[in-house]
Amino acid sequence: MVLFALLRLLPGDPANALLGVGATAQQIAAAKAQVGSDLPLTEQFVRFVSSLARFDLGTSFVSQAPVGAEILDRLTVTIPITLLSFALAIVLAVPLGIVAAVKADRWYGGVISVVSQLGIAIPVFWVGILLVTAFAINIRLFPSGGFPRHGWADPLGALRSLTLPVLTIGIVMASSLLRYVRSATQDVLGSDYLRTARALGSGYTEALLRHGVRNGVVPIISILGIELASTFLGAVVVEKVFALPGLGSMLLLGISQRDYPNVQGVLFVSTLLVLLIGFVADLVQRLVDPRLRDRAVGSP
Amino acid sequence: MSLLSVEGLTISTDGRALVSDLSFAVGAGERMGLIGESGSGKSLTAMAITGLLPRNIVASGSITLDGQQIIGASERSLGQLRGSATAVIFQEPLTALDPLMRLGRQIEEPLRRRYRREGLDPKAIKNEVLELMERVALPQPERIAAAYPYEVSGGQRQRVAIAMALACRPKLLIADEPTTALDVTTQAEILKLLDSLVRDLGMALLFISHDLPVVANVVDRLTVLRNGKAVEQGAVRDVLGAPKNPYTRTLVEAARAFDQALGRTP
Amino acid sequence: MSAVAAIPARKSRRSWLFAIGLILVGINVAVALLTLVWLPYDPSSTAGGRLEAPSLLHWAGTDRLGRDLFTQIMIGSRIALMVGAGAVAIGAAIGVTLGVLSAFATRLLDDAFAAAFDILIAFPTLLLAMLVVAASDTASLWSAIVALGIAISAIVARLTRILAKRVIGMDYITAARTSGTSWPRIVVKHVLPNIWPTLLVNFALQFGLAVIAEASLSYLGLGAPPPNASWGRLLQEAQGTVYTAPFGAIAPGLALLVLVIGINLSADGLRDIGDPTRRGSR
Repeated sequence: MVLFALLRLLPGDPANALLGVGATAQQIAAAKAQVGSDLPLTEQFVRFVSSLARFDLGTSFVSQAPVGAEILDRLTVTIPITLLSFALAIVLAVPLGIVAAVKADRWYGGVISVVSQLGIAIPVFWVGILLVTAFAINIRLFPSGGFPRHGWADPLGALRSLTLPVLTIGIVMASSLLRYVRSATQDVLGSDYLRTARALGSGYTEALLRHGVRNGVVPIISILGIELASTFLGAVVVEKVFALPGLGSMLLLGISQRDYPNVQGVLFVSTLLVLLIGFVADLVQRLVDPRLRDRAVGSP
Repeated sequence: MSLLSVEGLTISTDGRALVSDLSFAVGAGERMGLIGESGSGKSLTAMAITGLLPRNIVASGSITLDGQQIIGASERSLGQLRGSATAVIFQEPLTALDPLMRLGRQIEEPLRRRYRREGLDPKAIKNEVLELMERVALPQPERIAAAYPYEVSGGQRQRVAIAMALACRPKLLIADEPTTALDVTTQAEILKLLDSLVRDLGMALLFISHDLPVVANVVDRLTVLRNGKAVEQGAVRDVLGAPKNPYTRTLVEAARAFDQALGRTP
Repeated sequence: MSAVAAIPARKSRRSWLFAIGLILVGINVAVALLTLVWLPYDPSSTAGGRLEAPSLLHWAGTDRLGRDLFTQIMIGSRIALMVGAGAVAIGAAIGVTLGVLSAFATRLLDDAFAAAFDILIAFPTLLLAMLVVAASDTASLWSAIVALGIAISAIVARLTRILAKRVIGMDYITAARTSGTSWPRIVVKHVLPNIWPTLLVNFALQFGLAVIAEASLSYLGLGAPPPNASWGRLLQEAQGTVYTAPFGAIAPGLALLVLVIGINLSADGLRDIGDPTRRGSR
């Protein structure tokens, strides 16, 4: 586990390694002195890490504004979207997944399964486009894009702008999560320990609650970690559909403008967040499942 | 009237009969063995007796346990019978126990239920758990009570499962292939344990297995199942000593040949 | 017991779905192959009126430049399949190799590999792909394929490693060793054939994910540039005019949906073939 933690705390490494390649290609357009790309690669890395320690992510080529501040600003959009969508996905997926497993022989169980099959085949942004067409343009209930100028100072406006994106991502994520919940529920329903509990006198519901829930949750936790990371990514993609000023648009803008510090900053922060999520999910799983605590490396 | 009376039991699914017209009875304190190969329907019979058949498998006929009809009974009344009139020990202790719950707590669960039923003082539960564990010859009860299933051996897990069944003080103990998943030495120990417990507590025993020698030493009477039908029934001495049915004969022959090959006296 | 009894009823439904999946994928493959020899319209011809609704002349209408949309969609299926297949091929080649190597490596090396795979897996496929495309500094068909290929290889490598280790630990491998079979022969004769079915199912699933990821990349502008008409790019172009011409936004999406559902159903079907004792895994 220690080995694991150590490796996980080097998030800058993969991001920088790849960007190192990109950097040399972009030297042509970049201000060499500022980036210090004329220095040998190892020195660049040292510089990078030390400026990280100072929380300094550099300055944008284009706007001359500090990258770190810009990122923080954008996060106020991306993070709420991610969290809200995730919450929505869980609220939708868990009950539906359980129903799909328990009532697999009734028609509504089958319907749920079919719908989830659709949900995982659709790219997130298409759902976004469809929702925009339906709600923002035809029915004019929600704005088709954009975010209030003053950000969260206008909470109602902000929430209105976020509703459709959250719905979009939430629905797609729910479909994929639902299948895992269904599978976990099926495992629990067919399990031997449930049979033992009932054979010794436990009521069906009682046995499910006391034994089923905990056992069912364990495989889901690591999935949740991955899903949260995907939700984050979905948020980044969906921003284009809804013209939201979040991390995604900063990245895309940076790439097209060859704004190296911006791109690096966004990728670095994204990488960091994704790794963090994975780490936390791993930790939580160990807490819940004692069988994992005695192993040297995490995943069995 | 027998404690358990099975008459004309037929278990079928999708129109196919898995068990046909099975009849046998187990009186209070009696020990009955149910022998058959895999697929002969023995485990299904155990599930039918406790009303735990999966939804797509249906039982018809009559099963009376402690005076109550099982077939067609409500889940509520079945729930009351399970864990009080009867308790079950299953084949694979690793999966039969909740992997995320400490062993002591798992024994507590049925115990608590009985205490509530009989109106006993819950404060005595912790002690009785340890007592039960000593009864099933588990070393260092406190350590094992705090352990998880994966931390102890297969034999110890099965002993815990037995302790859980004992906690119910059932009138009928159903053991569904309890030693099949264990190694030979542990098998012998567990069998001896079951034997003494059943005798000391005066429980009735329904022992299900495919292993003839194993069953023969523990029960008084035998029912031999083949393809869901009972082909022979009677006292162990008679069935094994002078089997009337050709199938039974082959089973006995095979067991004897095996023993002889290993140099054991039959 | 209940699983055995339930199989007859389920099996017919499942094989039916598998057939549908294969048909859907087959249609796409057929269309893609067709585009190599024939197209209804010249893809770059802007002869048609702009943003026309679907008609007999233009089955899917036209895009904002007057190009026939149906043609674009047909080409899109070729792009999707190429990227999907290419990415999976690369991912499989790299992933299986690394996975098997890691399974045989010394403890330390294996742990390092395992940790590396786990870290890479924590990244959603799309993010990895974006990283690679950004680093390679050009948006092209190949960069998309390579990027996705790398992302997939991590997943495949991890799976391969776990499966290979499991097989290696089995007794018959020890038996083969003691009878003098060399390690490479063991890999080819015993390990690979055993893990192949599971890997194949995984490849199929990754294929579907790759198609979606490619569409996402193209939508964001990081994928294949014109004249390669990726469905993702088509959707991105259609987005601006979705109010006046909604069909442009619906048709490519539908095409994507059809292909990916087909792939997923086929993957489920493959899984059932490999292991028929599974419960309903739709």
